[in-house]
Amino acid sequence: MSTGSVWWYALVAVGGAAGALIRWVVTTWSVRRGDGAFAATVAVNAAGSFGLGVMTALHLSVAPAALLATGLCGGLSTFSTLAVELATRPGRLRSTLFGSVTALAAFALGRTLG
Amino acid sequence: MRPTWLDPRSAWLVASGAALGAAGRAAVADLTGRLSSPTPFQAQLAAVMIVNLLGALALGGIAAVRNDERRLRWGVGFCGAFTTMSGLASLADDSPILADIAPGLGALITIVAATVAGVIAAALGRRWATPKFEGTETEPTATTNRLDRPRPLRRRRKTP
Repeated sequence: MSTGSVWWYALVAVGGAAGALIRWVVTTWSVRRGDGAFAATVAVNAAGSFGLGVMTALHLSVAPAALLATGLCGGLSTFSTLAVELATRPGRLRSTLFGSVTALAAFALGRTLG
Repeated sequence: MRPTWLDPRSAWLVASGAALGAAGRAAVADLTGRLSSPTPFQAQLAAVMIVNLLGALALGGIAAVRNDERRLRWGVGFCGAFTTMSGLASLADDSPILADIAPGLGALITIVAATVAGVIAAALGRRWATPKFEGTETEPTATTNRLDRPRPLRRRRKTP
């Protein structure tokens, strides 16, 4: 299987759907608990970045990379939700730093451990 | 009792939107990888910035939509999966900024700058989408159930 083939896209789509479902459940659960959506977004971004860091270190072949790295980690983490939450949130600067640093640190940690 | 927020219909909306979003992101990455002869870093930079800024712009508008189904599929699902924070973290980790002196600081500058650009894109998308919904039910807020608390966008200038 090669990058750009139909099966490659299918794996990315399946992984992305699974990642987004996890993100949606975590976010809804966090809102229900009263912790808010922002905490959940930061958490899933850290988890996705950590996972991608581990997979980067493992040098996965094309198919697992499509499903787990591009698909699952990409779908689990989200930039747009973070950006919208930051745009509508007070204390923007600190939150922006926090949201960025956690993802970067999680990726670096994952790559080191992987 | 099954919690209403895990109902199959909503899950389907999120999953179907996300499948399209993730595939779209992969298509952008595939295209920038093919079209650009430059380094893999430059191709990745282009891909990540394109999906993230377009996705943030779109979600800025979609988050203000009051239709739950549309927001689940196109907001949580599509925009959420089309954009990527893990990809951005990976990109920032490879950033050439200050790579020889302080690579950690260079990575930090890269990811913060990209996030600030995304926040601006989201605010623009929101501002663009807002007039459409004026005069319908209530003042649109980015937050009905997905986001934290209803907090209208701070207005710097009044629209005529």
